Amino acid sequence: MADKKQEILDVFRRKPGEEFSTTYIVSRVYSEDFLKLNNILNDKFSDERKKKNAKRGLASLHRKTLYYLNTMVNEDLLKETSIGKKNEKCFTLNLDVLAATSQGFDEPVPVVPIEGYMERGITHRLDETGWVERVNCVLIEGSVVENLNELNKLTAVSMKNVNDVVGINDFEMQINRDTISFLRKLNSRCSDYGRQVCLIIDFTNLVDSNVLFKLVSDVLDLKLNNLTFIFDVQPREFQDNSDFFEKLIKLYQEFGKEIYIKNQGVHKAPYVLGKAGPYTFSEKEWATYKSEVYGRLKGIALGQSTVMVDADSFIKEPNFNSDEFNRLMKKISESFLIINSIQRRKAENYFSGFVRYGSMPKEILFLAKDYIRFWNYGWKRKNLDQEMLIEAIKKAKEAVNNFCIYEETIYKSCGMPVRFKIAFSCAAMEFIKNFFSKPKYMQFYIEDIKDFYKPEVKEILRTKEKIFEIFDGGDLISFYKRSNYNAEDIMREISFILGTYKIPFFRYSFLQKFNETEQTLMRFIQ
Amino acid sequence: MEIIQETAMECWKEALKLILDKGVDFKDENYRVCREILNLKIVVKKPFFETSKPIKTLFGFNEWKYPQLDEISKIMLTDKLESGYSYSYGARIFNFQGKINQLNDFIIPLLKNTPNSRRAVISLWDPVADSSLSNRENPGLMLIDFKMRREKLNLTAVIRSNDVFFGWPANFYQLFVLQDYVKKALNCDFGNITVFSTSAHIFDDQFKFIEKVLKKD
Repeated sequence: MADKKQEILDVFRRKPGEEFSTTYIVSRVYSEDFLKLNNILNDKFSDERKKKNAKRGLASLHRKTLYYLNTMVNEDLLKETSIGKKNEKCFTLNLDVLAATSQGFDEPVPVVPIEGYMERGITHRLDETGWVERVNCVLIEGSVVENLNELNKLTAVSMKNVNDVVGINDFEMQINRDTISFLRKLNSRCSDYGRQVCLIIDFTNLVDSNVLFKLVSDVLDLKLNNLTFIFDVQPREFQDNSDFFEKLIKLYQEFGKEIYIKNQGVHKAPYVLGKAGPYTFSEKEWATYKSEVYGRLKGIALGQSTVMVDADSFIKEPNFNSDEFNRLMKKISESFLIINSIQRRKAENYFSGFVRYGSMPKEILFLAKDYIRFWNYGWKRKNLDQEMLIEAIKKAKEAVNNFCIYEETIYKSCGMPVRFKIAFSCAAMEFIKNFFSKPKYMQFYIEDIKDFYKPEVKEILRTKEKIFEIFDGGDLISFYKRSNYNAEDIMREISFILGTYKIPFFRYSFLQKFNETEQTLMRFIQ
Repeated sequence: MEIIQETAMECWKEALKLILDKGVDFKDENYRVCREILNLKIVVKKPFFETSKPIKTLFGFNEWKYPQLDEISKIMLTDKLESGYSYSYGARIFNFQGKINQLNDFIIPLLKNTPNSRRAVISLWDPVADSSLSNRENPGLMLIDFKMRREKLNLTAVIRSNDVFFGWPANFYQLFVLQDYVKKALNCDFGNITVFSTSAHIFDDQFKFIEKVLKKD
């Protein structure tokens, strides 16, 4: 009997949550007999006596199966969910009881409809093993956390619940003489867990820029490489603090590091940079955050789950066309729906650390969204019509947005008010270089401010402005410098970018100083 | 307006056609074009027959992914408010304000002792939580009434805002699950399920799909 029950459970386990009729279960559990008897019944040459016996045989199989099914309903393993044609009973698996009692088996590992794409190297999930149990990115509010001690506890909790990056907003509020020792501990914890931390400095709140300079200098000097400062400035503040920024640029040059600037005049919400790429709120989400979350919660999830797409590999598939691309977007969206449902159900277990710090799981996920990150999608690609590229991404985003709206409407009208949002963003090369195709885009070298007046540079930056608009989960542009630069020139360039372009987030990379090669304005990476 | 049919599928299709043909258009709070009929009454005489057929019809579309039956029924029968939701029907029914199990401690004993009672009412609207200008996430299903007549358990529900295309199939299924729960406890037969939708509506982006449903057998 136990074997038969296990066989029945296996039928349900293949498609958990689905309803099956008694006949369907008979056809699976007694497949050979069922087929034989049905063949007799459907064979017009069978005599009546044989047909009668076959009917009896089928009825007997039904009775036997129903006996097991009813027993399993009484044991709470299954639920009788409806009555179909000819008064036939239909059943579903009782996932709750199974999960609670561990009878039969653990909750099945969710199968998502992108696994074929993953095998072909077209998609890649961020954190294969922990993509259900952890969120990608959490933003901790530095101005709400009481002190470094509490920040230390919160970041410790976050390391276990996050699989990419923790952002600390308004970190300038936590700068004092103990900060460097806190950051040393934090960096070492990041190494243990393989995570990153972004320290976001809002210049509007900054009291003493000398103290900040000393801290940045110490972090670079101590090689606390898991920590990244993001300088969040208004264009005006950048000019007003020019002495400080010039010193800062010199410092980053000296260490051959990249400096990250966020333009608060273009995008108010903070940016967090993880291994997988950037994360941010849309302006609308940020307004909601400010009015409904700020001051009440110490931390909130920004990114929930991520799937990365290698557009170049996908385009090379033999049957590639725009329908196939839309199909891929839909399959990724469906995968998020499955994963988000489990995350909601198990939020209390998965994010128990946050609960201890007074946040309800539904609040942690209040503004979280899933990420589709694109790699090698064609920006700055030679011989690719950039307008066409923008249109293609825009259309894909619209389709994904529509799917999200349908799902939110469906779930809400079924009495399950959920948030389901999918953002587009870029994938970071450092993260996907081992999984995806080699980069096909150009590195963007700036020799001096005159470069910004060149038509080809203007076109690249205008296209990027449009991509920033569509990539609602955040984007990033890198400017690379030749070796013979000076901080004053870079100051002028940054000031020009901040005042001219709707580019919310960019970095200046000085790495080339340590690997000098002859550069042209637009050199292709082979 | 009133629709009375034997099965959920027949009722659903008739309601969709009625709203499509006779509903009045307006823009809702989210700027979506909404076609609405006020105070629509739908009576399903055989709620137990092909109860999930409307849901299975919605499973058949590629444009969305409809929740599985198990997830839909669980939301009605689980007393614990799942951590990812701001409210749930099950928690409101079985653990209202963390104080009362409206079904097990009231409806079932009441109907066991006084089968003809007119007091067997469950309220899902919690004025303390829901009557707030800032709260936009509150239940659509407001009230469930049970009437036992001639050993048949009739259930009547009031839904304040009812997306008849996406929501009604699941709402009906959830009500059936609840009716079945009480029926088993009282050892009686199924009666009708009546749903009053004070705003029965569909959205303009659903019209093309509704046309497809109406063509189905």
